Amino acid sequence: MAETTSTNHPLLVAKDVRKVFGTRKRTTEVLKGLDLTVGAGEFVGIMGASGAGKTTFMNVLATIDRPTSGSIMIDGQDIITMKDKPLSAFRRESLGFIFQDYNLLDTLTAKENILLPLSLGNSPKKVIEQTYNQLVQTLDIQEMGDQYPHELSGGQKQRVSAARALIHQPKMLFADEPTGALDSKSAAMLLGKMEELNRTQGVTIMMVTHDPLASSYCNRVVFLKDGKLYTELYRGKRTRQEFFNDILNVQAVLGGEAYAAH
Amino acid sequence: MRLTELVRRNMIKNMKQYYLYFFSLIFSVMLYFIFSTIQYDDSIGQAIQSSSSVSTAFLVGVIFLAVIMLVFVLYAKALFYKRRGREIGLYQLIGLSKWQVAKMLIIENLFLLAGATLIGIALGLVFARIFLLLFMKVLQLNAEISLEFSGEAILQTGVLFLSILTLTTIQTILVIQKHSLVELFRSKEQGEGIQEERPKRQAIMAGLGVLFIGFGYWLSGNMMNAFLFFNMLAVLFFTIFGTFLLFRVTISWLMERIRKRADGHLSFKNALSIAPMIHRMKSNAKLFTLITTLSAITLTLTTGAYSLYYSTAEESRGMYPHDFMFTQSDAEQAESFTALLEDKEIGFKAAEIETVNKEITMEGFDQGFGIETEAQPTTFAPFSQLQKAGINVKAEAGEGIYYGTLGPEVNVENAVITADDQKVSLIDAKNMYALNIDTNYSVTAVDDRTFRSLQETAETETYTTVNVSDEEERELANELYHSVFSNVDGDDLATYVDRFKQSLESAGMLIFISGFLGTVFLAATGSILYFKQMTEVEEEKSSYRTLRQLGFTVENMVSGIGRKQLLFFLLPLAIGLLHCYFAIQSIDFLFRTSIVVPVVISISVYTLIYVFFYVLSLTNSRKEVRAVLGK
Repeated sequence: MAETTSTNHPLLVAKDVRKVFGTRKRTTEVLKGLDLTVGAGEFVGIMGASGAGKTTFMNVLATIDRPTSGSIMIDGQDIITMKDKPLSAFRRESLGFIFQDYNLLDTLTAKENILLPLSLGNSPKKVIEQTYNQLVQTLDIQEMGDQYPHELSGGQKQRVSAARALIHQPKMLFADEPTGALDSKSAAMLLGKMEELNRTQGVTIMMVTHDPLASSYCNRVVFLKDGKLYTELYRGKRTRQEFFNDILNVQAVLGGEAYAAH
Repeated sequence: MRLTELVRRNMIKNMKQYYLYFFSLIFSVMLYFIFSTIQYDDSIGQAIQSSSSVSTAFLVGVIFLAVIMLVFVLYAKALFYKRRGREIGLYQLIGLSKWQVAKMLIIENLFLLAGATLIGIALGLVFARIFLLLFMKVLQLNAEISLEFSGEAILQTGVLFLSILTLTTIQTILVIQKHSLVELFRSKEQGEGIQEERPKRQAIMAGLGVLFIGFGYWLSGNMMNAFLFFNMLAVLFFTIFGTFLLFRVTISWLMERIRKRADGHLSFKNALSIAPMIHRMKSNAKLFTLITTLSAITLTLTTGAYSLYYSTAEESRGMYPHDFMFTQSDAEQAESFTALLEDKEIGFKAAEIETVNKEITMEGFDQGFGIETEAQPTTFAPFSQLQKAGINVKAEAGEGIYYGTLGPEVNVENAVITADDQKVSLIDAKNMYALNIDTNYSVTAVDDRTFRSLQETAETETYTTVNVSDEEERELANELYHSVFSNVDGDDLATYVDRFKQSLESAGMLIFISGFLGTVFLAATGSILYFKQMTEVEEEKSSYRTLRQLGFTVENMVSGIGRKQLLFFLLPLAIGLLHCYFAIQSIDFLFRTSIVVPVVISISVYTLIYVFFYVLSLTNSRKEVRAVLGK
């Protein structure tokens, strides 16, 4: 366990996170006390069957949703007690998001979409331009700056979305099924880029996915089951193919159990 | 769930969104019903001299109101259907046939319209009296009037209801028929294509828009010449087409410059205002053009009506410079009238004016571009006698002043009238009469010596004028005049008071009807803009969700949306006011009194209505955004 995190200080620390949906009479506990620590520079995947609570868990960690109880610290800041305004500011400045359906604004060009998170601040244009150029080069979307989302393919849109998530150099990047709407080639390209960013620039990434191939790009994969932590796998020195096979095995057990329990 | 239950639930849900539409409908129906009631009421006609014109005027009002309502309802419904495309598609997806969906929407529409009509009529019955009192006050009438329940008015309102129902039903069927399921799901995104890039052509067209409007404005100030009618058409063409180009190209071109200069570094407010505005300008241009042009025309007409109303006295004076006037053959009547006035101790001033009619030749009556007016016979009268009769003339020997209707376009600077070899050089042409209008149209006032020599070769006709200075006594004198002379030959001349009352009635009617129609029209356009904005908020909901996830607060978003909506309401308002300013400038000569007050009133009402809808739209957008974000 210590093999990857020992050198890195913890960026995200979540303790006993619970989330209950519904009204007083009929409630469903979706998250049943989850603990998770993510070190700076990690690339963590979250897997689990539908309804296991993956997306809810990430929304809660990513400050998009509030937990019912528990504590979450990101970069030493308690995001549970934060008021809405500073929380929004925190999200805008310190976190980045990639969504399954891109969530680009139709009326803005790719470049405008990418620079959107910086539109309220007053960072010097030169610095922004530099970051922008570097990012679009890494993500291979240099030529698309003036194009509108409807002129781009799914893979291009998702890379624009990734650029937007990273333009303000967030402490942490959250990705919710980023490859869900992509064909396998575009998916591989995006994941490769994400891995590259993680490796070369030390971007901390947390990715929710149900695709074992996608999660094989991670350093670590956390499996959820019925709102609880089931197990976790570290890639270590293994090749991606080996890691992929391990993930498949865990998933088979998970799926098998789920099937048997049915 | 049965179809009726679905309809009921739908209506309740949509009622919240469309209450403004419902209230607008109720208000319009109420006004329509009241106008119809007045149109068919006989008792008002009896209290008014020009009774036939009352029902005609209100009929015209009713027709205009019906047209405004039809356009308003159809446009608003088109917007609603666009907004509800997804819902309509969903019903079909769960297995309702197109016909069933259409039936559902038609039933919903029927309930809404029937409800608005019934409430509108009920309110009309209640408020008709207040309306009538206001009407009588504007016309300065004191008669006792009891409005009667009018079956015809109800019938007429029913016809309106049926016409709107028929048209909207056809519209609904067309909407359902025309769109396939897939299109319905996409209906929110389509029709708002992104502008294609042709920078050079765009720049030329953008400049052309400004140029056209500028030329239209310039021409409107310089159209007083022989080609007046042609000029007016040209002004209309250039301003309307220029306005369209301005909205369609110029404004998006300008915003595109701002955007290009930012080179992707768009400020958040601009990302939420300029970008979507450019995106939608294509589809909004026609709406904006229509609204600004019609608003400017409406404002100009209303201002004109106001001015006409407030200048009734002067207008009447221009046509009837003398309170009472008698021809030579009525000299006896004149004497008995003055005797009667003395009898009643009414103070008056009588005077005699001698006149001669002459064939003349005219030179130098420039209509513009060197085109001269044709010579017409004119009547000559001496300065001294006109002065005694109360007309303020001053000129030297050999000079003349022309009274009559040459029209404002004629320049008399170098004009000379020749009659019997006597040359009279004109120093002024007054846009009023020297003798009451039903005697002689044009009079040239000349010095006494010239007049005497003209008198030698023509027959002299002498008029007697009687003027009463006190206003109340003048009214009394007018009654006496009519009581004594109404039956003599039946050709007694109309008086100043008659004319004044008649003008006041028609001008009052005009101001009353145009005022209400103008307000209804401006309110209708304002609410159309409001509906459009709410539709845009609906279309942009997913953007707000994204922005929320990216960490922008509701306040951030509302400030961006606010800027967009401010631009959206401000653009047509500003251009409309500018058009209105130049339109009023160009017909300024028609107004005898200062039009500052009516102009200020019209502009304030126009602006207030827009401010109201802007605030309403912003408040509701904030609410919608909050609802989307679950806060």
